Order: sequence, then C-alpha cells, then structure tokens
Amino acid sequence: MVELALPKRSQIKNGKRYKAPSGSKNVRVYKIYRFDPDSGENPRWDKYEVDAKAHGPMVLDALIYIKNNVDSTLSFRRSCREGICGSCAMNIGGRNTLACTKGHEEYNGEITISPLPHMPVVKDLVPDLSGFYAQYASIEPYLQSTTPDPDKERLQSPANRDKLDGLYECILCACCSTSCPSYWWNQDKYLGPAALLQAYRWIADSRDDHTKKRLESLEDPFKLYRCHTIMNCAQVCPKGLNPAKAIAEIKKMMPAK
Amino acid sequence: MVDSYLKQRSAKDWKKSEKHGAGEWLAERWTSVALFFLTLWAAWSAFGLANQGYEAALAFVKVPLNAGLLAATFVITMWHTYMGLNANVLDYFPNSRALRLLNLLFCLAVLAVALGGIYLAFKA
Repeated sequence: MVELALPKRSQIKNGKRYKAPSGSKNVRVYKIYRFDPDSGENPRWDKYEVDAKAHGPMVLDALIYIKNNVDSTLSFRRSCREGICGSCAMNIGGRNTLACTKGHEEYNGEITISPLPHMPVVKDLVPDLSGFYAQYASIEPYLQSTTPDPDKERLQSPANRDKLDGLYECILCACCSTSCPSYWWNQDKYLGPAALLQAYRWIADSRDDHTKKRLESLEDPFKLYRCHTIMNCAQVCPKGLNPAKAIAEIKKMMPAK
Repeated sequence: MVDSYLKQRSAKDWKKSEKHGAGEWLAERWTSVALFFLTLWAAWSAFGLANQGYEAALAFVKVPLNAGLLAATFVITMWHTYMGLNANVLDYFPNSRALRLLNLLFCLAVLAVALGGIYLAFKA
C-alpha cells in the first residue's frame, strides 16, 4: 500500500567523505547509500572520491575499487561482471541498471548509487529479493505438458521459436519490477513486470500446453491488472526487453481463454 | 538481518487468483470506445443548443432518441468513472472496502440524479 509517511529510521543523513589520495587526477565522486539495519542507525550518504584512472571503465569497477582500497565495509552483490547474472542491479544516477554494464563516463558530476527502490535493504546496496523470487516461483517457470515425453527433444517450428525472442533473455535482475510504482505500492499482491514477463514466456511457448491454467492463475485484479502500462519497466531493462508488452499480450489473451 | 515482511513467503502461499479481472478490463475498453462517440454526440448537441434557451433544451430531451442517448452517456460515463476510481482505490488503498463502497455509492448517486433529471424532463 502507498506509504504516506517515511518508515521509522529511514531518513537518510549525510555520512563520511573519503578523500582521494593527493595527486589523484580525474577524480570522480560516488555518493553511495549506506545502511546497516543491525546498527540501529539511520541510513546515510557516504561520498567516495576515486581516481577514475585507478579502475576499469564500469561503475562496478569503481565499487570494487572502493571496497578493495577505500572502505571494505561497503556491501554490494556482483558476480559475472558482464551483464548476464543480474546480481549488481542497483539504482545509479536515479535509474535502475546493472553496475557492470554502465560506464562511469555515461554520468556527469557526482554519481549517486542506491539500492533497488522500495525493497527491504539487507545492507548498503543489497536488497532483499526473497519476495521477488517467490513471485517468480509462483508462475511455475518450467515447461508443463500433458503429452508424453518424446524420445528426443520437443520440437518447435522456427516461427514458434521466434515468439520467445524478447522473453527468454530476462536475467531476473529485478530492475524492471523495482522501477514500477504499482510494484512499489502492492508488491505483496502484484506479481510485477519480471514475473509477468516470465509468465508470458511460458504462455507463448508452443511446447507448453498449460496455457489455460496459467492464464486462469493470473486472472486477478492484483496479480496482473495492477499494471497500468507506466512503461518504467521497458525504459530501465538493461537487456532491452519490454515487459509491458508481454503483460499487454497476457491481458489480450485473457478474455478469450 | 533486515525484518522483511516478504522474506518468509514462498510460491505456495502466494496470492491465489480471484478469477476475475478480464471482464473489467474489457469493460474499461468498450466503455472508452462508446464514450468517444457519445461524448462527440453530446458536445455536438450542446453546441447546437447553445443560446437556444430552456425551451429548446427541453424539446431536445423530449425526443426519445436524444433522451436515450443522453441516458446511455450518463450510464456509461458513471460506469467508466466507477472503474477508474476503483483502480485508484486498489492502487493506493488495496485493503479498504469502505472506499470501494463509497466510490460505488457516489457513482450511483450521480447517476440517479442524472437519470432522474432526464426522466423528469422527458415527461414534462
């Protein structure tokens, strides 16, 4: 539900400023959200001055540099550093994206980094995504068919395979869902763009014949119809996908199911 | 560890489908299409009645086709309004039955006044 007042201890204070070593050239300032729920303190903005020549070209390179050389208490998720695992999804410069595929030169001035919006924060830039994963599991993201298993693979025509393009590429980074105002207000009931994109990925699959059951499980004022085509999901998707279009396709199929 | 209200949720206890929503979605679209034409008709009629006086307006409503279209315009407008306001209530106050009831009563009250007015004018 919409929150009209800030939760207790959520107001962000100004934190420390870590100066760059003297003689550093091309210094960039990273303003990073810091929060440790165990400390009992409010969140704060820490500022890190970093020599851009000291690390690689991506924002993730800067974060790794800060953790290794400036402040080892900074927490963030990262794994593949090439935009395929989705671990380093965060809000950079006011927009959800992957730190590993965003170059720091794409931003002017101070670079603000905060966790994915409107999610419980485990620590610093690490959000609690357990609800997000439960939503994904709830759409039963695996092939379901009543036809017996064939001896070899289940074949699909090239035309039917093409229907999965723009759907299967999702890496579940949660950039889309956490950029959606409907998801902010009702994430305990609304499935959100990522789970619905994946729901459509199986609805559109010619090898899956549980389409009617899948549609019936989605027909709900909250689970599906809280999408108002705001399109933030499509704007921020780091893989260039369009969850809003997939949701629209589900809505179009629903009355005729 | 952060106290997350979602942390313990699993796919099994995720919200079950209420088995409705498609009908409302279709109704939102069809009422929009109908209102596009009805509003054009209403605006055109109002333009024709401008500066014609009370008697001309009364004569306009006394034509059965006009009275029927006017009533349809109000019915569909309030139906559409109800669905739109309900979407707002569900977005921002998803657990408030009182607001949903208030919305229904408001839309029905406006509709009752409008239809009553048309009926009285038609019979006058």
